[in-house]
Amino acid sequence: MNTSRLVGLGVAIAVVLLGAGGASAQMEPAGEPDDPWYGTEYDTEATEAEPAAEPGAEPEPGSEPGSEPGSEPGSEPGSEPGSEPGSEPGSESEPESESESDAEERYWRTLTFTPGAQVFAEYDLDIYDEAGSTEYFHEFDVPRVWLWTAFALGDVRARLLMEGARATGAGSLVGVGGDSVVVRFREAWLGYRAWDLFELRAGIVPTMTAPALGTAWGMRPIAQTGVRRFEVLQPADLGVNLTFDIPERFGRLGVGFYNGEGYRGRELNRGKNTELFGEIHPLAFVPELAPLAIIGAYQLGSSGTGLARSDRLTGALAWIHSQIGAGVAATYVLGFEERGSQEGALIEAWARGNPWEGLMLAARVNHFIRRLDQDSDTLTELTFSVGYRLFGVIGAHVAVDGRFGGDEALATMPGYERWRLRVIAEGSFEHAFTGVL
Amino acid sequence: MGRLLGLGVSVLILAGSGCASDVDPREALVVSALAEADLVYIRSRPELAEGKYVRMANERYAFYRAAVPVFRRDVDDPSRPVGRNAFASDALPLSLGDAHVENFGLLRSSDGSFALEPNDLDAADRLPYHWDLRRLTVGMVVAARLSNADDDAARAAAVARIPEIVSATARGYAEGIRAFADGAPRAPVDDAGDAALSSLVAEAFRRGRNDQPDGTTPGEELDEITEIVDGQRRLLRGSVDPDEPENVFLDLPAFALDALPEMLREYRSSLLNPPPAEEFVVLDAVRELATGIASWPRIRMLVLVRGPSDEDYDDVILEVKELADSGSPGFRPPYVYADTVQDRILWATRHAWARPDADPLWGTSTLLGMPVQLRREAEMHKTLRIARLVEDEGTPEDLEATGALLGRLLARVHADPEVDPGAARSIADAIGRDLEGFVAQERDVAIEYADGIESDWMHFRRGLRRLGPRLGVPVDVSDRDRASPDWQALYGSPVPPPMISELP
Repeated sequence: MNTSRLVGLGVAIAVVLLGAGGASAQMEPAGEPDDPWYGTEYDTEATEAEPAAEPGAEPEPGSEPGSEPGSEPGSEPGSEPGSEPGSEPGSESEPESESESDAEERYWRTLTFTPGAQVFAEYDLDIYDEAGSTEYFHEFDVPRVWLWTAFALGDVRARLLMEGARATGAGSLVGVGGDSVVVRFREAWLGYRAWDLFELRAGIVPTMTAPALGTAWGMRPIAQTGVRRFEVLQPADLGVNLTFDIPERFGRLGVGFYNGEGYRGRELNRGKNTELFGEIHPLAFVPELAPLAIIGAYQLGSSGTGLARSDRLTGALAWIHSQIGAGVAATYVLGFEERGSQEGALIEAWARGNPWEGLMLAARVNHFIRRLDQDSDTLTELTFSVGYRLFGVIGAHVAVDGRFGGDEALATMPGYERWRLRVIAEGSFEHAFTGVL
Repeated sequence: MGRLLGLGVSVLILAGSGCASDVDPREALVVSALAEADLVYIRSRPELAEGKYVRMANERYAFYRAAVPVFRRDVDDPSRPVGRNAFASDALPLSLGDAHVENFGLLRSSDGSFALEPNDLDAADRLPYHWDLRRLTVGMVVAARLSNADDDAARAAAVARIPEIVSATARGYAEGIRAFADGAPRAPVDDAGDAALSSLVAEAFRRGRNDQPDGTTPGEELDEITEIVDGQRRLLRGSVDPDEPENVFLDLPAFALDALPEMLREYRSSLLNPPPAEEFVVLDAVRELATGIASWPRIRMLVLVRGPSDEDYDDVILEVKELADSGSPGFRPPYVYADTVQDRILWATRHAWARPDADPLWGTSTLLGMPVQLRREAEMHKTLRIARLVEDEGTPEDLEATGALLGRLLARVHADPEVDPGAARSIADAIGRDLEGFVAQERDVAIEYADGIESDWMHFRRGLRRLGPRLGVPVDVSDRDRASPDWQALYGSPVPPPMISELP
């Protein structure tokens, strides 16, 4: 174990503990439509002793950086900077003639630079009832515009991810340049990866739970996960998190401390969010069953300057594989939209498959019981889609969505129920460039 | 491994300690909703926001007036009675957004006729009908409880009749929406027709007519807030109302004065029948601080313009008010119903009023990039005031009549067929044949919610003490929250607010 890594880990622990020192509260700010995912996607066809990382997947120990010319459409910005920029000093792949110190110096001078872009473009047709008549509305939209660059130098990682977003919020007219699509940072973090097991990130970092559920779903161009759709969990925030990759691909554990406002808001209080996360693949030792995953997470926090309770307990059982995926997740919501005493539950289930070449089929349902003590304060959303992905770079889908509400929910949300037909185009491009400084 | 274990234990201990929150959930909601709604004001002009909160803490009625964000949260919460509606309609009519009693008043149209109309459209948008109605019915409960301030017996009589007062308001609305759905004309509420006016409203008409300029003598407002200096009329400076020491007129910074002609040019183009441009030559202008309640931190100015002639008796005062979003969450595509904030206000005036030029000088513009509303500042434009609910205007019978009148007027606003041709029918059908059931529901909801305002006020006072004058929003005025010198000059330096009073 070299000294620099020990120092790095020490700094990591100190930062985490310092971050934890203020952990007494959090914010749960209001909404934004996108979410990333960074969870591990297990591909049984690739899993042997050294499985290849799926494009867009979480960094895998030992995986090669930028090995894919284009990441899977709809997946997270690919090759995490956490991928090894070069082989380990002293590893078997090192030239025998190279001394250990030379190898380490070379390791620390090898820079991997990975730019990428991802765009979802849609045509939406909404059909709904209004005051006794059936109405429609249609529009072109770009629910996702992402540009990113990732860097890896030795054990140091960094990523900048910019996204396009409307300048106004829902129902709002005051924006920047009217209601332009403006660019903002969704991620801007610096990280350190130690022993290929631990990774510490600081800055505007992706959280763990919401992205993991997104990875399990695996069809972001078609729909958001329930936790993102209903703003139950934030996908990114300002803060630090530390993850531990369980050896032999058994999963990942993590802890994070954040402002709690999400990546779109400044801190409003002294409290910080705490996120405890675990994704376990209990049968990883059987390659065919490695995609089976159990996800468990707890978010401890509060929202608003008034410190309303905002805790989340999430559990999921999923099959996470590039060819086929299915799962069910439940999130117990304690406090919602600054109503600290409100208790609800969000249940989501999904299935997707790639039965023939690029053909993609997907379906999901989100059922949000906003209040457990109310019979019909519920929101339900169904999505079905069929599509085709070409060369793993671009794709097109047709999706049908239905939204239904319980009577009590509809009394406060007229216009919620509708059918929507969408035609979706998606594209994702990424390439890694490696060089020695 | 030992270090890892230690780290894990430390994290768990810290995580466990982070969840403790002994804040009352309702207090958390009240302060968070208000802080969130005012975030931009708290950060950009914290002293003005502080003044608003002190006012809300010291006056129960000011709290009610400015607690619209809390009301919006509650009416959107089906676990609360105010969030439930057994007579729900999916229509989204043109709504006032904040339909309480003091947001109605007299306007004089271009032909000189007076009408009772909504006179604050800052929050107007397309919303569920019962949001507006309940803001009005709750407001009627509050009005009855605050009526007859110096007459305990009269106030007790009004309070005893609150169920009837609210019922009359809801019935006025229900009967009105039925009538408009059946094609009744959307006539103005004036004192010329057969409509039975309450004493409060009839008196407003009488006083409005008395105070209108007659073309040869100055309007009442010119006497009150202007003076003649060296033969030239100018607006007063400093404190103008001994009862409102925070309400002061300040000089406008030069750059803002320079921007007024362009603002007025755009404003003039927003009017239906714009007077000649010469009428809007600027004679003087001031920044007005600490007026309104919910809009207390917003920029307001008074601009004195030439008027129809060079004579000083027909000068006109225009009130300029900063505009913001309505706060609507947006319900149906396209989720907004105007291109700009200015358009939303103009759209609301043209459809909410019985005639689109009910106030011919009510328009919008842009000042230094900021959306603004301009309207005539005139004593003849009498607003219905809770403070006037005394003697004949504060009797239970008159409160019932006022409620019924405002309920029907609100129904007329909701029934505009140009906004939504099916809205009135949809709402009328939702109410159906069980009008009395509807009235009973609205009565119970309004009284229950009004009862909660008292405790909400206490929550707010406690929250303000706990979190400080900015409701806990961190503000770094020395660095990143510091406004430019120009904007600081425009915001102005307010009179320090009084202390938060102790309650008996």
